[in-house]
Amino acid sequence: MKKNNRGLALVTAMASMLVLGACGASSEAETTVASVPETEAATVVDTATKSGEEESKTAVAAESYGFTYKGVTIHVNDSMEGVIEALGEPVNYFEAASCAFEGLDKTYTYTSFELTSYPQQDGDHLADIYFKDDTVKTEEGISLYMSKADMEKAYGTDYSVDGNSYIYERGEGQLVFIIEKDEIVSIEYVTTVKYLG
Amino acid sequence: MSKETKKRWLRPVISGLLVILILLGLQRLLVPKYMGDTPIEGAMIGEYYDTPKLHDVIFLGDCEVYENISPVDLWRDYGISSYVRGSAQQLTWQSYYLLEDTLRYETPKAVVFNVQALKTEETESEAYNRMTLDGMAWSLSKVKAIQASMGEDESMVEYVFPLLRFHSRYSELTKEDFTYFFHRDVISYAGYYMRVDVKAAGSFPEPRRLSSPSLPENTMEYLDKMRILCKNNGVELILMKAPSLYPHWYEEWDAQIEAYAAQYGLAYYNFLDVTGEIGLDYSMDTYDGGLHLNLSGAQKLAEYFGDLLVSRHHLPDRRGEATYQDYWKEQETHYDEGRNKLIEELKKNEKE
Repeated sequence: MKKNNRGLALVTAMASMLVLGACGASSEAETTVASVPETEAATVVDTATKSGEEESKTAVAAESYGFTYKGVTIHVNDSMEGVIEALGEPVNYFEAASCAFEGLDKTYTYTSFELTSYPQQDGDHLADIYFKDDTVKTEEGISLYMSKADMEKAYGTDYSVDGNSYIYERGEGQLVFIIEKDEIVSIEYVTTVKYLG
Repeated sequence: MSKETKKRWLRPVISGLLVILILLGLQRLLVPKYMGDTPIEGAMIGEYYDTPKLHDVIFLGDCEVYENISPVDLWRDYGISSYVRGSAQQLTWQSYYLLEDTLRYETPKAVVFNVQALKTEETESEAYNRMTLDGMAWSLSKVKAIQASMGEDESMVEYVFPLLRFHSRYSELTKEDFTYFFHRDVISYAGYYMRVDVKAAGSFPEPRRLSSPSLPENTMEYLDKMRILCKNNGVELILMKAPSLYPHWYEEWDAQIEAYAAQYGLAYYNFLDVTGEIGLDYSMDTYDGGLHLNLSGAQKLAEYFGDLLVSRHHLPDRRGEATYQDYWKEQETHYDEGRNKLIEELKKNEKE
């Protein structure tokens, strides 16, 4: 090969490597930023299940804190379709467009709790579960207006503190208690999967 | 140099240039155009650079700014020359660097910053980052904006060479990618995103309990940097909260901003407190259920806010000044054509 041809080949090869190398680096199913916002791949695709039924959860979903309502156990990051199917239609549904993309902020209100979702390529997933009153409790038996001591008795003291929030981590979810004057005033299950908020 | 030697050097140089040209062409084709059916808001930041730098007021913030503030109406009602440097989910540090960037081109008399973004303490999405950052002209401010905004999966090299990020779009190319290969349409009206449709406000989810009554420290730090930058450049910083009904703006946050404004002698206007005085009717002045105003709402807000800007902040009436007149005449024509087109489309859709 002549010297100048070698130069050309080198430049072309470098350019190809630059582009193809980048292709290889992100070979996972990709969407463009312009169309659907790219989020991290969904780690958990769980379907809400009736207690006692055979569960189809992934290991990660099983690790996160669960919330059981009328025999239905749900976890953050579950498929929203499965959650709604299992819980029934909400009392109220609210959908707000965010700054530029539509339909990303969805809130499903049930009598005693509220759910929000986040979008993934395979559909919406459960972003959080928020208690509205004290008629519902966590699987470990904690409801609104109980004390910090009750919380610690049920979950231990391996929590992080942010302001008034006491945060327990498990799998790809958090269980967050807000405590004011020794009273639990907020209970929320939150996903830690990054998504378009 | 002999002919043979020249040839030996010329070929690889030409070949190298050819490869670079091809890569640049590919990059141009593959990057999102933010035109047509894609979220056009991504094109807004870049449009600023093509306008004459004749602005007495610059607005900074997220969709609460570019969907609620109409500079053409501020001009028509009061002769205020302004521009909205807003972008989708613009984060506080992005507003700061956009301010730095703006000051490279012009020094306005006032900068109005919408405080909603102060609640967001970290980057939430690459998509939104791109919609703000890709449109910025290259400068140290842009580099710092990227550094401050990048999420875990983002890298500076992908901002410098967007082809590395968007190479996989080849399978998703649309008509717009070819139509807008060489040019872009101007989609904003001095940074304003116009909507003429109506969707009345309904009910919203109840606001949740705050874990901390304070706005995040890092965003407040950037607000402070904005204040100092404005002060050092002789620019008055004005704070505003747009009259968007959702997401909820907490009283605790409002009190914190009021205290901050009082501490540094800044004006702070929370338009949620004066929706009646503005004359907003959320059954007809919003296009998305109360989150953002439509044109009718934005015109009412311009009338109200413009009066404040003139009476309290002494912004000049530029009507009658030739250079401003020419610029705004063009903006008015663009605005009128855009409004008429949207009204026609709306009528057509209603018939269907």
